[in-house]
Amino acid sequence: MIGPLIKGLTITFKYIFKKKFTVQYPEERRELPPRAKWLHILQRHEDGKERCVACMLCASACPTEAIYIVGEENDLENPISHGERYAKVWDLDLGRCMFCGYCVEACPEEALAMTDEYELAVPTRKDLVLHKEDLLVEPGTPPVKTWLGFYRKEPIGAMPVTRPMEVHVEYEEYLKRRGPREAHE
Amino acid sequence: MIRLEKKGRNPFIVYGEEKSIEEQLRRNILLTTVDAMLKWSRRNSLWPLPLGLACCAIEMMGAFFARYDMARFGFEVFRFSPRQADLMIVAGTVTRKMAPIVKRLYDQMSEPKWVIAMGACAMAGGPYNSYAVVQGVDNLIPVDVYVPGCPPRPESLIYGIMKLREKIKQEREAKIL
Amino acid sequence: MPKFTLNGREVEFKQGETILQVAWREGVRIPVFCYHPHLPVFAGCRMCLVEVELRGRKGLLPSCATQVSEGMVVNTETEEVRKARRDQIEFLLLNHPLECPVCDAGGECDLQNLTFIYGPSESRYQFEKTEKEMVFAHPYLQLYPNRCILCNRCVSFYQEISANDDWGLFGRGHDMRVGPYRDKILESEFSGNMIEVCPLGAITGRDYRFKSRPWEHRVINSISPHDSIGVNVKVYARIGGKYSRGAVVSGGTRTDNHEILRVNMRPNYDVNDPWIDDRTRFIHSFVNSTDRITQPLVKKEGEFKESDWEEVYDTVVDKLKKIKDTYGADAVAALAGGRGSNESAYLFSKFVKEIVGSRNIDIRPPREDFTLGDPVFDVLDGSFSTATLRDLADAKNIVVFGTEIKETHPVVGLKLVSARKRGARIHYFGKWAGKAERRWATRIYIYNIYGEEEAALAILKHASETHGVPIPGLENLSLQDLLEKSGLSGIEEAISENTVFVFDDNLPYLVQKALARASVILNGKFLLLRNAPNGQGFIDMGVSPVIGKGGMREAVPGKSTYEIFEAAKKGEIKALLIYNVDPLTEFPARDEILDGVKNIDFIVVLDSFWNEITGYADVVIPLALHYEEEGSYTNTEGRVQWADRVIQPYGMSKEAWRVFSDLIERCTGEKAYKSVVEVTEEIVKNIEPYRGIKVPPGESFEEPYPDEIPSLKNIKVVYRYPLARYIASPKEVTFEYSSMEKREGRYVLVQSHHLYKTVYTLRSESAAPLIPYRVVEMHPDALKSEGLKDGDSAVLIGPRNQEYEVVVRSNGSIPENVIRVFAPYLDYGLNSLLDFKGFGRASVAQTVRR
Ligand code: SF4
Ligand code: SF4
Ligand code: SF4
Ligand code: SF4
Ligand code: FES
Repeated sequence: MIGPLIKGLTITFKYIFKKKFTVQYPEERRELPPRAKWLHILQRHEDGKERCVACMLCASACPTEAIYIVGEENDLENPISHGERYAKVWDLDLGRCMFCGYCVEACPEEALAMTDEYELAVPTRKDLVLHKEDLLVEPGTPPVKTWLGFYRKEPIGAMPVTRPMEVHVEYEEYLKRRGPREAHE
Repeated sequence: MIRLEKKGRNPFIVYGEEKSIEEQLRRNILLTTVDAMLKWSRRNSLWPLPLGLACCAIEMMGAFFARYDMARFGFEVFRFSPRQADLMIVAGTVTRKMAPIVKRLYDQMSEPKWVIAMGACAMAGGPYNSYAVVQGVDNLIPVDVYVPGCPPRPESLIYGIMKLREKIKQEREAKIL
Repeated sequence: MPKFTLNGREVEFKQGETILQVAWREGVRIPVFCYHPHLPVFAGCRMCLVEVELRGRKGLLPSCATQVSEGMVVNTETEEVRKARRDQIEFLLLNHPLECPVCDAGGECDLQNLTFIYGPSESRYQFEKTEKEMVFAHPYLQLYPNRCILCNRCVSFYQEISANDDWGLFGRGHDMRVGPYRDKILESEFSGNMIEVCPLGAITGRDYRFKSRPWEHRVINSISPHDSIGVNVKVYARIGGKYSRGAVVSGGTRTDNHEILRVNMRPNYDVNDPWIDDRTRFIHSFVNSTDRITQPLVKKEGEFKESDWEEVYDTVVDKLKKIKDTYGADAVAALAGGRGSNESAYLFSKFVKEIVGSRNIDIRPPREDFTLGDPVFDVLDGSFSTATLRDLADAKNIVVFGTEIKETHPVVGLKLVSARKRGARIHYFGKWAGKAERRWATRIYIYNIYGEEEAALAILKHASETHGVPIPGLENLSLQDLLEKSGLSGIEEAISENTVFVFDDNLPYLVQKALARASVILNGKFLLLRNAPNGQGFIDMGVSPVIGKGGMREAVPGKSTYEIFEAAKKGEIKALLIYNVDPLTEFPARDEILDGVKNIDFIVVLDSFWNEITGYADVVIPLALHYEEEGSYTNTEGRVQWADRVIQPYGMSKEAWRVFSDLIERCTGEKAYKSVVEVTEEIVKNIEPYRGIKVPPGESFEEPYPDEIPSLKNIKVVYRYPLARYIASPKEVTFEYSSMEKREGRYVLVQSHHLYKTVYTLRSESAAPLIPYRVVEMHPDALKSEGLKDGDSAVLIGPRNQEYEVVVRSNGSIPENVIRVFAPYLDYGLNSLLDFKGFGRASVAQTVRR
């Protein structure tokens, strides 16, 4: 009875004199790895224009469909982004996002990046949807590395069905139904 | 029912610009109301009911163990019986089968009680947009703080609990039933 | 059958087929850029290269242009072929900008896809790419010459199928490009098809610009709401509601679930082939017009009060009961505009005819001659055309009479172009003819402005003389006289055995009847083009005073539109139901109609938009629009087609069939219809010509994330629609001829149509640059004599000194004394110059002054 107790307490007392490894969280923070994937930001070019061109690739790469984008045509005199279009709406739903980073990988413009900002708790569900204003960085912010192409491999695809093929199939079907006769066009 | 402090001011914050006698007294003498006392004690000893339903539970455990050691804030007393807990941490996917149980556990907790939805699944269904998953635990019970992440880091959870503490502090009056 | 080897398989082929055709039929996917099944072979892109081995020789040949011959060995995916394709793509990409992220075609671009599969992953081209200027040739089209790979598809479509000539390929070598020849809006009403014909994003539609990506779409099969051809379309909306995930669930702002993103063709070789007209393609924003009625309204003490459905139904039912009890059922009348589904029309006519008990129901414009009956019904004992659109493409001799095909039924124009290519003789009879008609007409006959009836009677007379069939009532007239009066000469050529006549239902009663009769005599056919989008369906469902139960003839016909308003003026009509039509702006004789309307005690307007008649209504009921309801539609040839719902009804509006079903429930106590399919089933049971027709609802929602790409062989070939069947029993009919009353005055006002001036386009913001707003057209000489220029604003003065502000445009093809105006008259009140008798002609007594 007393033996194991002493044994246990020895261990306890041994640790009393060891260096503490508890992270004193709010005051002290652990350094995150360089590719830590927390809150997204939308970056800007050096000239202050937005990088995002509303290509919607991030939205399509996102496995949870947390991103919602509406594109709009740039005013040619006073463009918001480089290129012809920009994102009028760029919403990110943290309630869905699982911080997988696929969106960042998909972004061809290096507009989207992830930071180490993980203190994201909010009091209402509405606040979970972040809008473009919340995510866009100030002009002049140094760029965050996006690791574009980090995992990229050579694409292999299957030949898709193109529109003329569809039309062709439909037309053959029609000719079959219609009986023998030369093509009518 | 006790209703005392109604001003909505926090007795622990020193309002520098106010130099009234009342304020001086407040600064120098421990003079408080029952309400402030109650809130103070509550927010510093939240006893969580861990509702670990999926992977988020692992991070929740991480937050409670020595590395992040939530005992520093007085939250360490995990209560697996709802009657003794006042904070429910929903960590993980709430399936439709689990939903009635979540609801019952919440009902069994004694007032006052708070709920943290931890992780995407508990907040809004997360990646599972399916017939089997409740799209957000707030469809069942009121949620006080949402902690995004999939799963959130232990720090994120601690940050969430700190938010909750602020929230309790700002509550207009103590909930005593 | 001869055979050849395709990828190691023995495959049969027909003589004259190309390798590509056989391969696609067999499910072998060969990539193409310049080939299109309906366009001439161009063989310019070399993407379709395959390895062909014949009699010991081996080589790469373009499969789209190589005919198969016996014993060929074809391999489509050898290393050699892949390499050739890769090099070819590298060439195509030399000057192609790398702007897929901003390009609208991204995601559905053949160049993008094929580059992924065959192309090199990096470019070796080190130099500046050529920059060419963007071209805006049409308010809805944008051409990016930088992206164009010169596949020539758009040019072949434009010049061969649409038969216009202001778009083409020009320049040489490095500077070669496609584009418009002139600095003007493209002439063709099919220019939008170039967007779909283009294999990549060189031509994009401005209505869809930057809005969305193909993987976010929900694709719904529908029918065009714009004309009575029933053009088959795919409507693209964003995945929303039940099918969406993400932001919408967490209280985000997804506001555009109600938006239609674009409309594309759906091939249906019975109706529209794989082409659709621009109006169908680009005009869809009317569903979100600010003119929409959002709430049921009841007028109390002269003001509209927002109301709810219960109150509206109670008011309507109570009032109609009271009126019926005091004045009899014939004091109730109903008008419809022919926009809506067959189901809605059926329940509308059921409510009016069976529940209220009134026979006064019509969809035609108010004209005195329509009191005589329904012209086609009188000849054939049925309300239908005898020809189909397909017959048009096959016919040898076609007579198009008095119809501006381009403005009202553009798709018929395509059929005529292809008929002419096949060697058909097409004769156009009209008040005037423009460039649009010259595209397909082999001969043009212009009759006098007041000679329309004589021209038609001349055709009938000629047919009766050559075939020895006497026409009662016409014995005293000589062909010579008729020709003289109509201003025609030498019509013999136009009339031969098996002629197909094409005309519309706005023509005078006598004209329609004469042409229908002539087609019977000539053993030919006729295609009656309904002007209302679902005109044929509405008439079949009984929304016509001459058609009674089951689509058969009514023993005692009710009042036609004209008679309804005449009776209203006398105070005989106490209640009027108006369903989707505005008599004050869509019909002639606005003043007379207004007199009638003011005399009616109780007016119920069921409509989707605010318009003039809603001001006089006592109850306003908001209805869902075409894309917001599902149902069957009968096109002008009688083909019954199904359209699915695309978006939710706007505001509180309800589908029309639901409103009528609720009203019927309130009156009879029977249970309301649960779904639209129940109504369809009742139609199929009760309406004679529709008996046994299967209209397949459903099969609409294309899963946006298919598990696998469908193989070429498994592409779903979607619905085939049946024709409503009739048994025609031609009768010998009598004709009573009296020449058309001439109007004195300096100019003759002639009602006409414009492709972009309809109830829907006027409500579409995006159509603004194309709508002829307040426009009247005049001959350039007449303009000159008035001292006006093209595009000037002017004032038109009527016979009673009424003044109308208009914008004049010059049009060289109309006669000098004609002012061409466009219906509907939402923008100017010119219809108060027209009357019940003039068939859309009126005089402008004085002059036009600035
Ligand atoms: S991190 Fe993953 S889940 Fe989150 S938005 Fe990006 S792709 Fe979607
Ligand atoms: S992928 Fe990048 S550029 Fe494209 S929409 Fe997303 S953030 Fe914008
Ligand atoms: S046309 Fe195709 S390849 Fe060219 S930029 Fe557009 S999407 Fe990319
Ligand atoms: S615009 Fe399109 S269809 Fe026309 S030639 Fe260029 S790539 Fe071909
Ligand atoms: S498709 Fe055969 S050469 Fe272009």
